[in-house]
Amino acid sequence: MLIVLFNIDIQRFGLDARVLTEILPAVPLQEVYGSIPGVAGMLLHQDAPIPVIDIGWLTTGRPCPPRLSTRILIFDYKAGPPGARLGLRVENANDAEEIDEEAFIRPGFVSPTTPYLAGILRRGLETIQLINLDRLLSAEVRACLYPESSA
Amino acid sequence: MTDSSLIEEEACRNKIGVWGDRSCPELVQYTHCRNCPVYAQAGRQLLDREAAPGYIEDWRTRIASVSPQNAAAQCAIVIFRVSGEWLALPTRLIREVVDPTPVHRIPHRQDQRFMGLVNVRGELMPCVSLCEMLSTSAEAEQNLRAWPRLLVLERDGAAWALPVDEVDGARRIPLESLRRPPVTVASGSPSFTASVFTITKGDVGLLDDDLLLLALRDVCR
Repeated sequence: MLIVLFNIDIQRFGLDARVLTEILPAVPLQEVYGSIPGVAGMLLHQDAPIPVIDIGWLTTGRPCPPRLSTRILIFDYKAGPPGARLGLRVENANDAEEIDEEAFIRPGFVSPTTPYLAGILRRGLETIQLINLDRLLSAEVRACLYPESSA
Repeated sequence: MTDSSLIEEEACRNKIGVWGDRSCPELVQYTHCRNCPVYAQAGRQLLDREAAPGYIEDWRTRIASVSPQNAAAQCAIVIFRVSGEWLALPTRLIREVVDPTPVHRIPHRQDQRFMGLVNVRGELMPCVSLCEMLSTSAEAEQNLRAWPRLLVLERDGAAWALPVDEVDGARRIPLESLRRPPVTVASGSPSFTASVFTITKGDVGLLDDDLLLLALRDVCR
């Protein structure tokens, strides 16, 4: 499957491109004051605003730096209500690779803080960690972003 | 500015690579710096800079604005020209557009529509004349310059090559701009034109892909 690669801090991560609909430059977002940590704001998209998560902020507490390689990935968010979309601001999104799904090994541990880790691929001294998008957001964050799904 | 010029000066490609004294041992394997992962990495580093002023703002308005083209249902097509006629096919049918290659004729084939076999990067496929199939006049219009290309069609693993005089490119057009073809066109035999739409270069006939593929299979039987 095609994997979009990006960084969180110095680690390399990947996401399945099948649910990806768009890759956009990291444009300024509409801020949502007092919102939940990790939620960078709302992206004013053509037909509807899309909530955007800063994945650096969500996982390490440091937002992605303003660079050309920082980009916003727009996904069809399956874990949300029908038609829901989610934006993910990621760092160093400069590559996509065809990688066999079987090549990823299970992480071997389940950490309560990283439930989204779906697999690890070792490549020399480098690893690529595969993220399961459906498990990235906690139930509370999901309920805030898509209130209609829990109602 | 001095920073980037210093980096440029220090880069291995300019010291030991093909723009330097060519002493880099990796050149044996890669032949040219362009093929070397270090060079690719340097290219990626260009994206580690901050965006140019205006660039982000430009994108912000582009993402936020609802253009009428985006709102309406669209279809993706590739527009091309065969002698004097502009035609179009759905993009999903077209595998690639390549430069023309020599056509190898097959003996004892009398069908005018079947031109022979062409070699597209090692793959042999039948070459079919759209001109003959659509019975358009073969004489090219004098004022139109020809940029000949081969259109490679693929469906269910089978591929065909169609020589065309010019490829305009792939476009998305709103479905509502499609009109029914004029009756005189539709009654021509056989009719492949499913609908007609207009671009700045003139009227374009969108071909019915199912009918065309049926005919292509018939030609190459």
